[in-house]
Amino acid sequence: MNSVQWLVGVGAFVLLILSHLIWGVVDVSLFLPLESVHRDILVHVRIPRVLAAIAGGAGLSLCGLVLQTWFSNPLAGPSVLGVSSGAGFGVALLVLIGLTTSWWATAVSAMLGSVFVLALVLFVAHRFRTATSLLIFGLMLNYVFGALITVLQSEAKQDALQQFVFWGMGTFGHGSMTTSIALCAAVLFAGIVLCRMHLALDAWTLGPLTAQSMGVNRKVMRWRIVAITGLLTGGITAACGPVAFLGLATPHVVRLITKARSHRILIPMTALTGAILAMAADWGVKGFGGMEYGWPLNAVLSLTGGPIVIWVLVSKKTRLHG
Amino acid sequence: MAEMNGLQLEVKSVDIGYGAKQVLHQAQLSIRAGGVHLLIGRNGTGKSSLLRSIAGLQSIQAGSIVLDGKNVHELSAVVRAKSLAYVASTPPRTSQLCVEEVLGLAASNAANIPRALEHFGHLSWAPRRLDTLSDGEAQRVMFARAVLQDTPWIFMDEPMAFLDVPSRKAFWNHAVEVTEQGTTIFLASHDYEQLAKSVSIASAHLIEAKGIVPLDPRESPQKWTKRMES
Repeated sequence: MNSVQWLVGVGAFVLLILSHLIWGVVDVSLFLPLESVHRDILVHVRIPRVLAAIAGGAGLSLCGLVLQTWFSNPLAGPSVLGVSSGAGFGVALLVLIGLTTSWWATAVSAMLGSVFVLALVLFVAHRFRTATSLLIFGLMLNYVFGALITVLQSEAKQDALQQFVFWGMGTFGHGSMTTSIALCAAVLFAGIVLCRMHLALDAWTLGPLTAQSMGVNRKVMRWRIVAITGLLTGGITAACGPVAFLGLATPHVVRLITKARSHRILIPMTALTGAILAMAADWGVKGFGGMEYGWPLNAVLSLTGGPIVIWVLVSKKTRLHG
Repeated sequence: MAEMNGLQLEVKSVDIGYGAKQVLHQAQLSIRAGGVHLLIGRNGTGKSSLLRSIAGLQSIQAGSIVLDGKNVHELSAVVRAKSLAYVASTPPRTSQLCVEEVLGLAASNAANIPRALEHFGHLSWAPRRLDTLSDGEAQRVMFARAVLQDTPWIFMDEPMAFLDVPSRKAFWNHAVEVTEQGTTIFLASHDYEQLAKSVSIASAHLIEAKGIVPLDPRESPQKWTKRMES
């Protein structure tokens, strides 16, 4: 990772933030003094949305990177392994049954769902002889939770169902300033913890036995990954919906951009690239629809993320043993 | 050095197994620190399982494994990494790290990396990713990594499996040099007949009938083979 790439990355990050704050249905001037209507738009709409995109993009991308390293599997990611589905089921339980629409309650429920699924995956993963088996296990979890959500939907009242379907399309534009700041704080904390683990994550790429012989504590590392990935995926899913592809695709975009492979570089670069991709996708959402709540985020991400994942699959660099 | 300090490895009545299938039962082994020690046995007798267990990387069903007076399964990962290094039979093939980064993870002193790489491999390998090396080259890097970990004990599982003949000879010479600096090497190998010709074996042990039998290291290795066949 050279300084030019960092400069370009940070520049794109800042430009995307400014563009999202300035342009929209109403163009906002950032020059002081702010007009009161512009200040309201910034505080209640634009800033929470940008912060949610930064947190969602960076957080899910970090989850994808860590899961790909832990499982030595380039196709691992929160949405692939069923973690996002577990979070979605947590949200569905509360929203579709009509218990509450509070973000904090749905976030806790989503976190419980994702932590449960991730713990399940991590603790049964050693039984799988091949990387493909793990992916199939994740696929089956996605089917099971999808079926459970469908059952809940069939029993739900119309307004709850409508609310859930809207949530399921994904958007960075639903959160309040408080929830967006909370997400950013959680992602920042997780990023710091992961940065402190960069040597252990590097050692893990040499295989669990070699890594442990070099001083990596497998249990501690596993629980940290469960906590970080589960809580981040749960919180982001509750706030932004089941965001597809970012967790899986961003680490590969980073590996395309830079030759660096050490987690010392990969972690901050993945977070930065994830935030940039999320904000760029959100421009797709706004631009294509031509209004503040335009095309569903997941449609935009699937259209852009799909080709990246296909590239990963057909790339000669991808090795899925078995 | 290490021997004079009375350091040793003791395997006390150890059971190792996988569920209902038991590989070792009431196994006993004692090694005094210093030199190259050999573990042999037929395929599937549990050499790798024993080495992993001694290295604290695999749990045991019964008994205890004591290294220099400490139960290896009660050591923290960090303390264990200062006591022993482990080289697996198959070298990792990661595309994530280059050779220099791999060695940097283990080296207590980064200044030693170039010398170790030159000693066990080639300096030109430093910027290459591990998956661009051959299996034999990658295994030599892993041996350099274990030496750089600077521990009193190194456990190796079939370290010569991927090495060509000149590399094996070089490996044996390096192994002797490492032991002369105070490190004890305990390795499992099927290539012991050649190894014993080049290296003075401090002790040899045979796994048979779920137990560990001490062999006479002064004896001809061919006799060990005959014993295995019988």
